[in-house]
Amino acid sequence: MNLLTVPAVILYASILAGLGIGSYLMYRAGNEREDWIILGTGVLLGLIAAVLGFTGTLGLKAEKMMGYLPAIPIPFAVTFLYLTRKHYGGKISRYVEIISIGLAINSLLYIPHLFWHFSRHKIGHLPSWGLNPSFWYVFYHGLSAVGFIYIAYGFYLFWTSIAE
Amino acid sequence: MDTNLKRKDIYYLVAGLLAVALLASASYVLKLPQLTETLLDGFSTVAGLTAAYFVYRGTTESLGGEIGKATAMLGFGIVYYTITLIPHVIGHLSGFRFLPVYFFQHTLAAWSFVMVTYGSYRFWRGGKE
Repeated sequence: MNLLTVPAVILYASILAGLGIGSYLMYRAGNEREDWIILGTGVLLGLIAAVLGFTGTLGLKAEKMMGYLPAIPIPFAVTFLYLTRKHYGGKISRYVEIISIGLAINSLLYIPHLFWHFSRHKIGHLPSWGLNPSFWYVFYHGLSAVGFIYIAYGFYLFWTSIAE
Repeated sequence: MDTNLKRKDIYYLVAGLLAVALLASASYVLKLPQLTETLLDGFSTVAGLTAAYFVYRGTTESLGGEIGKATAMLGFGIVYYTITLIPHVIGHLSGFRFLPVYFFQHTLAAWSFVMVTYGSYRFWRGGKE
């Protein structure tokens, strides 16, 4: 068995699990057709990109550049959440604020983090200010984890805000 | 700036940031290997799954409607991104390079944030009425 089969299978499984769990959340919440169209558009774009990758139209460089794509939508999400908090009071607003802080941490980090990884592979340049890679691994990935944990805390408050 | 955050919310955030500062300093001294980042990503994955669990309970047990639907879309984005994070990185590090899959994954990782953005937009639109 090819040794690379294992990471490949794990990646396939995680993609399916992500799509499955996420869709189930939307299904239980009763999301409407327009929401499923948004999701379907993403999957369709993914499939188109996969075909372009298969035919060789898009190469390694394009793959690397695609890593930057998530940075585009996040600032809009934070802006909308910031505007949203004025519409709701109390607990809902508190939960929205926590989620937006978590997302803001991740969005602010995203570009420098990726730049740093690429510069380690001699593609971009980012100063390390005399700190070794061990510091930066923990700095970027640790802050990102704190952002996501804070988001999870926000969703926990979302649940408790109505459980009373 | 007016805020609805409680004092303890701010304490949690500051504690988290301090923990990162301490861990990063410790890592600087101990020269921890790159494996550390994958371990830290594990926290993100667990956080993403926890978030999904509370979105599920929140939307099914009481708060449906516009807020529930918007939250489910935020949940989709967060859980997709965090759950594929480690396999994605492991794939890159291991040299597994079947490009079509990577194009699919990169597109959907980006799209998961579009889902978050759209959910946020729904949230805002739902509250306006």
